Amino acid sequence: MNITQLLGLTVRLLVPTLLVALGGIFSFRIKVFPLGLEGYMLAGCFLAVTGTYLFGSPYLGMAFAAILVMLLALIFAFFVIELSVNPVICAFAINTIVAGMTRFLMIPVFGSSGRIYLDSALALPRFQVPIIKSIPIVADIFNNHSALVYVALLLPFVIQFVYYKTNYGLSLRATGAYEEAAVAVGISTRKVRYIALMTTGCLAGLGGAQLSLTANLFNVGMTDGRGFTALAAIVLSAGEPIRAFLGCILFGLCDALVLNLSSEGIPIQFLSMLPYILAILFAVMPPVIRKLSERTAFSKLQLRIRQNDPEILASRAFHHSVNSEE
Amino acid sequence: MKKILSVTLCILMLGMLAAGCGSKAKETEQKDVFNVAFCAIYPFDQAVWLSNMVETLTKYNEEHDDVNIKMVEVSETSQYEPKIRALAEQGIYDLIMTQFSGHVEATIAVAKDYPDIQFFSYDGMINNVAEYPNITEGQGGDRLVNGFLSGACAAYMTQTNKVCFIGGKEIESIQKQAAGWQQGVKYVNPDIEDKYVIADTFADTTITRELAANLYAQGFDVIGFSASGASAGVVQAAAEAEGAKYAIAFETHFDEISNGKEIAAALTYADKMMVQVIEKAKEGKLEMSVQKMYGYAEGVNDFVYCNDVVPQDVRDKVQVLLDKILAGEIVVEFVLD
Repeated sequence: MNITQLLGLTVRLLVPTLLVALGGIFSFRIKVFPLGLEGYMLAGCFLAVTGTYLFGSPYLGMAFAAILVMLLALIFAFFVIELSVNPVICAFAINTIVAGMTRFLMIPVFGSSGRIYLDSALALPRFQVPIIKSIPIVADIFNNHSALVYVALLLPFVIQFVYYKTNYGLSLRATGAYEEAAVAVGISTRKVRYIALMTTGCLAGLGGAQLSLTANLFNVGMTDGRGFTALAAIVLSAGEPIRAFLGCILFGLCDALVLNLSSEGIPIQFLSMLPYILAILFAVMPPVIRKLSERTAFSKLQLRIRQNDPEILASRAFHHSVNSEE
Repeated sequence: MKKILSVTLCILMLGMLAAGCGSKAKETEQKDVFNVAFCAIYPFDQAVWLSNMVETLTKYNEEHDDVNIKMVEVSETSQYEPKIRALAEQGIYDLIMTQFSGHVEATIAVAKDYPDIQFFSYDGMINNVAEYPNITEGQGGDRLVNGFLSGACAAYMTQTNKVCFIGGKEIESIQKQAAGWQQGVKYVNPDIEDKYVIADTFADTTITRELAANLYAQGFDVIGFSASGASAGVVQAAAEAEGAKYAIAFETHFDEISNGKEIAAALTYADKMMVQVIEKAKEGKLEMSVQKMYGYAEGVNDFVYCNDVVPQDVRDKVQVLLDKILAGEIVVEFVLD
């Protein structure tokens, strides 16, 4: 197995999931569970191919997908925010309707059912990045990808900045943490929630567009659960963009490993367990490490007390004098 | 606002109900019409062969006034028996066609209660079918022979002595193709490196594309593939691969996107089999309680070449192998390495 090839494959496989996960984080942060990501992504796949087919450009196809899926998310937002429909039920409806509509619309739009192939001239262009292409191993991993791949790889850092360094990020976090308090300080939580839910749709649509336009086709059900993988990355990362990025790298690496190992003759029954084992590890490791470090810190403190550490003794004396003065 | 929306939704739902209960293409209650219910185990457009089957049956239905075919998606496990039973309960169907082993239990359960209806199981693998007086099974396409001819063709065409078969999922129909492929490769040249890989998807073209690209990069130069809708990914990888990297399709063609790299295809016209079964049943000649193979002899299978890449001498050799199989000189067995 060639490690460079494996990492290059990981980059190609993780990007659609990453875009969807980053979109889903916006919903997650305002306490709307983004269960409709699979539907948004599938709609993005279909609309990107439709847009490319209609306008003759993959970039216009991508924009078409992003805008229309954002509008779909607007409908979802209207139901959730204005009509107080349970977001989980609404998301189920979105997933079901999109699965049906993409099948149904194939015939009137393309005159065929099941799948549609785009002309190879409409394939998403790949770029040779000036500096990267001349660095031996890095070039094999990061060169010769479509523009959206590079955008997706930078996006977690941009979103991290938005969350923690901008007014909108602060409003978003405040709305998610305690909506009444956010309203009390004058934040328009309704507007914040609308923007967050529409951003989810936009990014998930782009994720779908990346998937279908890279393959240059639309196939019924082609997302094959990627929206739910993105959801797993969001939940495991607790809605933190950089951690979600790491989660998506893990899932992408896992997919790449499965592909490589299956072509090495390792049974697929074993390999198909691999993503779930890694997901469990990804979920379990942070609390285990936290617990272990807490326990280590506590035992170190006990040891210092037993050894009559002067700092501890001084601290004790100080607390004792404060309490006796009171 | 909420009231208006609720009323609009109710009107929409009523409209959809009315449309659903609306007119039928033919009067199903007519006595002189042979009524057939076709139950698909997948959504109609999930697989290319199924889309073709639905298209052929729709056309056949339109062209024949004496036959009425109702096509139903019976794709949810919990709905298998209720839906098949509901069709039988209507009392108008002369023949009910179900698919694969998934539908078998429901077919057997319903068939027992409706002895006057003929049931046809497509690839149900009902080994004790002789025990059921109103069930017959048809195996659509000889997958072992298809696999053998494809494997032999791949073995004749490889320049690197490395060939591979990619299957969508680890199911019996795919295993049969793989078993045939392995025997075909070995028959031509036992020293060829032959790999059998499962992509574990029937829908995800990204996975099959990357898998095939990886195999081509490892030096495998002829890849056979059977992964339903996900097969397109393998063809795309072949189209993008530089040099003499080829693909051999199973069940259906993908040559419109192959850039000339799909060199041959072991086709199965399962739709032809369905039409043959309906016609036999209509004439009262459909034999019950048997398993019948619909293969090359019945015109349900064909091994075709997509372009001029495969030279005439290889085509002649493959034809000789087919003749030997049909004459019983070569027996392809369901044994997977």
